[in-house]
Amino acid sequence: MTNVKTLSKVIAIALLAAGATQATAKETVNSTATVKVQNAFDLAENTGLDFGTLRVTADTGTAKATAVAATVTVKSDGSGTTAANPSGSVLASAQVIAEGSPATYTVTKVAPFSKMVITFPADDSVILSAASAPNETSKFTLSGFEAYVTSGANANTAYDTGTSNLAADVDGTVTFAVGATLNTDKRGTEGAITQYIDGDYTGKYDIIVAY
Amino acid sequence: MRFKRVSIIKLILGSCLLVSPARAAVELEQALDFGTLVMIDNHSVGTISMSMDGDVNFSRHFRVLTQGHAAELTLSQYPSYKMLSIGAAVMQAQTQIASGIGSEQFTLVSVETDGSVVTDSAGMARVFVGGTLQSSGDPSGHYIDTEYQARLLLTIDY
Repeated sequence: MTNVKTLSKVIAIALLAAGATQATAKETVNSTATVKVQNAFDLAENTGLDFGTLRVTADTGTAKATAVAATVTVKSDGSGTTAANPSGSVLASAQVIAEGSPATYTVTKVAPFSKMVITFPADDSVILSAASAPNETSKFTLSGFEAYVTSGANANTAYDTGTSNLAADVDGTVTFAVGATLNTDKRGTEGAITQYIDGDYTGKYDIIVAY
Repeated sequence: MRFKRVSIIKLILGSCLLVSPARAAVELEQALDFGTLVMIDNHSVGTISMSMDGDVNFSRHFRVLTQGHAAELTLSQYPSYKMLSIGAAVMQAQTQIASGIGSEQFTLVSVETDGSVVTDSAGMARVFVGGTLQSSGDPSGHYIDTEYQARLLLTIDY
């Protein structure tokens, strides 16, 4: 009889212990989910757009409506600097004395193989002037901006705005060159412009790269 | 004979203590991380999902700069070959940033994990947790470059 009673105690204690285990058998962990946004990337100009050294005259003797311009084009693919003179005009002319070179840019820290879009300045929105020259001195305008992809997933191809083929490499880097056309002044007699002076003509423009 | 009975009682209680959850350990090896993203379009809601295996799927709204990983927990000091029930729930769906203001936020819409896991002979098991994050889809908003965090709760039950 004593043995039976003792066994009952053992079973009761064991059941109590087991019951306590079931009631508290739960662990909870608070944790976080993290995401980092990095929209910014680096766009650096390695070399500026250079039209070289030119002999150039502007059409200063014609009314604005019929004034013509000579042009000098620097191709982004590095194929050289070429001048084009309007046929029949003796006023506007350009000759290349020393070759120019396209601007070059490097994009870094973008997502690997990302396709980027380049936005160029609008035609004639960029004006080049001589710092020391009077306002009536002839200026230049830029037009026809275009680019050539020099590295990345589509290296050595002309940039195509339709397909946005400026694509980064596996490291998130891509380089490209930009060319444009320089136009002589066409403000005509209304602008009372005078011929170019010897010196450096400079202007600022924005090249925008975006995903 | 009396000494023997006391020993049996101690032995049974000892067994119960060994399986007590008070001694089980849950170690968070790494938290759920969706990586580093570029937000290229917020005109509609974008989603990025991290599977328990660490596979990432994302909509056209994102580019992935660095890949993240699923959350990983190590469970130890559980009974051998014991089935544990695993639960994961979103505690705070809207993300927050350190600076607190000035940015659109993401929403942690779901988390996923295996419903159960069986411990090995040493009483250990590993648990992975994935999830899905949504962008706001508000084109007037702006995601600043920073780290965003949501909170989740994991439970281990048996």
